[in-house]
Amino acid sequence: MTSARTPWMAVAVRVLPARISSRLSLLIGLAILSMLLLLGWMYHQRYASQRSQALQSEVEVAQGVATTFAAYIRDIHRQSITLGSAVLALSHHAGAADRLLASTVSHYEGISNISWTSPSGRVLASSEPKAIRGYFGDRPYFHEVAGGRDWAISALLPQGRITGRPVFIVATGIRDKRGQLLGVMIFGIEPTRLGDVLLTQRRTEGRSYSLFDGNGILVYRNPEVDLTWELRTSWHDADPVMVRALRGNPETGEIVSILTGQHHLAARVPISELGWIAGASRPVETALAPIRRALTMDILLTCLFTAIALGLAAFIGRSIAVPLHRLQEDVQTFASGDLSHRADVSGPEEVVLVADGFNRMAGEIQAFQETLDARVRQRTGELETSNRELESFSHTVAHDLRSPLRALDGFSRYLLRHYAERLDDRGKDYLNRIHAAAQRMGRLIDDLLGMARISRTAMTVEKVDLGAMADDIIGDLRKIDPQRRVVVEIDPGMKAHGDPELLSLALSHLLENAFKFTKIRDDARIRVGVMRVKDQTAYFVQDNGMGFDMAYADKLFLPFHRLQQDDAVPGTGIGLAMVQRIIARHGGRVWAESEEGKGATFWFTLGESR
Amino acid sequence: MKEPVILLVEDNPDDEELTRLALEDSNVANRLFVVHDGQEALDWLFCEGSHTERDPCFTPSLVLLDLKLPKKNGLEVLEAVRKNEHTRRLPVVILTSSKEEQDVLRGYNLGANSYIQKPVDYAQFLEAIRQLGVYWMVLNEPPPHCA
Repeated sequence: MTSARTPWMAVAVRVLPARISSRLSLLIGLAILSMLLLLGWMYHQRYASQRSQALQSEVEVAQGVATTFAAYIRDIHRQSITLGSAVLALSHHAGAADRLLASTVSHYEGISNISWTSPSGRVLASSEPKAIRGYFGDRPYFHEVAGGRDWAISALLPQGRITGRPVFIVATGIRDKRGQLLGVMIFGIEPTRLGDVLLTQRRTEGRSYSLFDGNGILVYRNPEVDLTWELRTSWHDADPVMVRALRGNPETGEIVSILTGQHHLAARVPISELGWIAGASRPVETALAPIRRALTMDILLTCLFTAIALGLAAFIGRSIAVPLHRLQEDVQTFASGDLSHRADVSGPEEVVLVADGFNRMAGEIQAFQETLDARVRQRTGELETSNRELESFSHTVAHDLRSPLRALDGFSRYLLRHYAERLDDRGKDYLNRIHAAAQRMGRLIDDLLGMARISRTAMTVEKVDLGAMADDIIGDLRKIDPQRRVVVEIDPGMKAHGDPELLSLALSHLLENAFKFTKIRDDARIRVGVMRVKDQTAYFVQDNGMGFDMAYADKLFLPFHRLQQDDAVPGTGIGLAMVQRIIARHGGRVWAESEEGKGATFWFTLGESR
Repeated sequence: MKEPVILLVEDNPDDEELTRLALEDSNVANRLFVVHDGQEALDWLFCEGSHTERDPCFTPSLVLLDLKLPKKNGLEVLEAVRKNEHTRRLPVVILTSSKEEQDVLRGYNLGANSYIQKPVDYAQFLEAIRQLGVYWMVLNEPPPHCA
């Protein structure tokens, strides 16, 4: 069912690693990866929620600060109105207003000084004697009040005219019933003292809250630290959350504290009636410490469980991969020839099934192989027997057929020699015929035995030069009949591999034939050559002799089968049969082409596997 | 000293006759004893069986031994001859129709002095026997009789 692979299987084959153990590792890796992703997501969620909770509580703290501070400022405003009425009532008693204001300051913690000015800004009375006759008419907050507002708050000033320390001012206009400005009550407040009276709540663990003026300058911070003017003004640059809140909406975010360099979760809430900002922050460290502690623990536990899971997965993976690997080795052992080898039937069910199936198949193959071996042995035995019989037969032929021939030949000769005078010509002729027939039969027997020997003798394959061989044979043939003129051509480079004795025998039969069958011609030509025929090296012996009828071409190579009558061309009809056997033993093929009266070509190939 | 003799071991009467004729034609006029099977050949040589009367010290100058013989074949005869103290030096020429390589090899392995295939052609047979007679009966110095 290999053809029934679905497309995704094909993709899997291309993309996935080839080995099962690698695939299992990949599987485990993917499982762990997805688990880690899930864990990471969960932690992200928890972290985010913890963070937003922390920010929310900072917002609440900041809002509390804002509310408190706004209430404080409103209180100062109300106080100013009361004080204003009183100061106006005391305007005819020199020094009385100053005393009232001084007494108020002393009872009003957090207030640095209080001054009463004319509508033009000239100080008429003050809690600080050195402020009297001072001038506030040039101040922006004074302009606001003079312009019609009930009250105004200044930004934080680097140093008050009276105290010389950073201070901010709350100015309240005092008006008659028609709204005519009668004077301005000015409260100077030192932010450092706010902690004593107003923002008394202490925060711990690095948490803090703070106040910023409308310019983003740090007015107050709790817990209190030594704030230089430079530090107060540069806060602005390090606190983007506050800068955003100056636009009018509560903001939260993460800032880096100028004081400690720590990351803080900060909330900044505008105090809308003042244009100021209340802020609160806590270090990220402490805000997220619990979750980080939990995370550390969880990571440790996760690693532990993952390690255990990996171990188990590896174990289970091995329990799949190892039996498969073993099965593969078993199959290889079997395939490499150990047919008695069987696969180990253990492991997962599927592997057991495959191993079992393989074992059954192996059993059948082995059984089949054994029957085959037995059959081959039997056949070989039969062949050997028949070979032995054949040998003994040829032995018998050699020995037994010759004796009667010798008797025929011998006694006919003896008769001719010693009893010639008692025989007439006819009798002598018959005796001659007996003699000739005996000789011929002797040759037939020799040829038959020669044939048998070709099939039997062991071959020694070596490099042979067929050209040189043909040259030698032709030399011998020429000696037999020196009168004949035969033109012989031998192609150069006729190298071959084969048994030199057998090939020489085959070649001499072919050349003898060529000589024999060109005897009728005066212009006899014989060519020995080589050609490529259908990707094979084919050697040939060509003559321009009698040739033969192609209709009998297939009978040429049968033993003792002759196409010529005995008297026309002598021979026993064994030569070509011998040639065929010799070529067959070399793994080659022999065939002939001819046209009657024009000559014949005998082709042969030698097995080229060598 | 007695006249040297040839022992011909040959079961085929035609061959026996042809050999006899050939020896006559070659003027090798020695006495020819003929035995017709392997057992008789051994009996003759070892003076046993029907040849107990024979003088054991009288050994032939040449044994012409055919291979294919009734009862015991030529090679068995040769083996026995070479094992026997009295006959082991005896010149034995295998004269047979067979030219099978195996037979030639085994013949020489068992200690044949010569191996000759009987030619089918009578003229050649004649020539072979003539040369045999001249060589073994005239030129060759046989081993001494009983020491």
